[in-house]
Amino acid sequence: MKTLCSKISNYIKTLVKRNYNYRTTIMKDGSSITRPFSYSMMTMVLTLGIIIFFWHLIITKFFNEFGARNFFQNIPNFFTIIKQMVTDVNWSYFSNVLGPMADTIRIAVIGTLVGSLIAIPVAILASQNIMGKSKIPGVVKFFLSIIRTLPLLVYAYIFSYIFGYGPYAGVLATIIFTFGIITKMMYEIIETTDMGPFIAIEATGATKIQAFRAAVVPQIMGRFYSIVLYIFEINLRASAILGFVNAGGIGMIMNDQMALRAYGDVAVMVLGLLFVIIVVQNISQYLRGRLS
Amino acid sequence: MKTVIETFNERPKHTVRNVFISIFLLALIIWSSPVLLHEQFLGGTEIAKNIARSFINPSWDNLFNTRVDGIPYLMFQTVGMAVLGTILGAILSVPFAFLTAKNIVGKFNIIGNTIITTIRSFPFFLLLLMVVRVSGPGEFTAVLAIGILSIGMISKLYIEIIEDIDPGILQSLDALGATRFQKVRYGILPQLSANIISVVIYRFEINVKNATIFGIIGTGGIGTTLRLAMFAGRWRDASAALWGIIIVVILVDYFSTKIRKKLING
Repeated sequence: MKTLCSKISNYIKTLVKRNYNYRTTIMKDGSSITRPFSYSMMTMVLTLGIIIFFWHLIITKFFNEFGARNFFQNIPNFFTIIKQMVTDVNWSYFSNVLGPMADTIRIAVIGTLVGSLIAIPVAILASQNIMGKSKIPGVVKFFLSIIRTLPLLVYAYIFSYIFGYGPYAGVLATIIFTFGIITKMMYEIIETTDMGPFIAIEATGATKIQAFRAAVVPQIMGRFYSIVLYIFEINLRASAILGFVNAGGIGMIMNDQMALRAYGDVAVMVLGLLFVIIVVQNISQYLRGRLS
Repeated sequence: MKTVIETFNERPKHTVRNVFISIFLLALIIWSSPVLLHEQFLGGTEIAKNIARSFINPSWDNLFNTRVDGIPYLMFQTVGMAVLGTILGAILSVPFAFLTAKNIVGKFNIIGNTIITTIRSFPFFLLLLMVVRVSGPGEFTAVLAIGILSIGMISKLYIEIIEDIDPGILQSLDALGATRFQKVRYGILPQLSANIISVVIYRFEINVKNATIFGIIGTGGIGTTLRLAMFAGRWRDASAALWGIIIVVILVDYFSTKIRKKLING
């Protein structure tokens, strides 16, 4: 064991030495120049190793269990679904879509509004430059980073167990998601604002809240609105999938029709969703352009 | 000479605009409030208590064992789905990006833009359900779905990078008498590589979260464990899976931020 260890360490030493010699160039006047060590080769080997490891973990396992032949035979299924979506569009289903679609938009609206309203005070609590030397921002930031790690759908899934199926669970999940992400963006903005006016107003005898209201709010309000609009777009896309865990919205009926292989109905929903998303996206882009 | 107070009182007030926006917002809230109607769900409080209790005390056995159904293995599997999917997406996006970049195809970028927008706003679990028809429920399905879904964002960011290429460098290489291959190798690749890797790593962060979500829909990895455990009411196992997700996301966030900082700062 000992000899093996020393053998390996000797080999590594010779490798390092050889690499150093390779990087060094001796000039005509006897002086030498050494290029800095390049990590690119090491990174490449490491990346390749990671890929091979995961390839073995997932893809080899897949082809052993599922069979390459089955897989290649099934590929046309994918295009058949797309083809059926295009050819069998079932417009008569449109009246069934309106209700869940409205629910989807409602979840996004309420979730974004409530989440961003809760986010403002917490963002102030989390910004170091407003709170001075207190320890609160560190603690708040830690809890925020844990809240942000869980994806929206995981929250929706847990809430659908606690509050039952329906849009209520979806709204709560959206509120938490919005709260986490807006708070982070806001405290980053607050911490990079110009603190000169804040200190000046505090020096006149104003309280911290008054100083914040007069000095920081005008600097950050425009960006706050544009963040809220941006998160609204994200929430709209996300609330379309909430239905998959029975948390309300258009995803619920989409899931059902997909299981029934009624691709014509699904196509109507996708078109409706695309229409709503593109309209909202354009409005919000216009408003954000005006804001900045 | 006006006093400060007078100037302050003459500031633009936008009363009409503000009233209009307030009315619009109020109407929007009233229209969407039915979503908050909620009937008391029987047994909900009991489940909430159980989840909270087991979140503090998850199944430690599951969290630390090294079997195939242990959380560490599932964490690796989830990250693996994200890695392979991201690489697939990064490769698939290259043709889309080059066929949509303005400095390469000029005005014909409308076609590429339409495709990219459609992919970006396509509800992703629908795509997952379509891919399940091809490769069955399993990890490989998640890899394919993540790859296809990543095209939208990655190619959009690629396009920005490609449109930023400095043509001056190519001209000077031309003047040096460089061949076409040398121009690509020394003129284009060094400009692109750092940005492209940083984009791909950024998408990888998102894809790790997507991989857990896909698991809930049923493609293996840590999400499926969470779903099955919650479905069966094994709250302590479910909490172990939740902690697994939290740990994975925090680790991936930490390392990817570090690598990207290093890439950008050189």
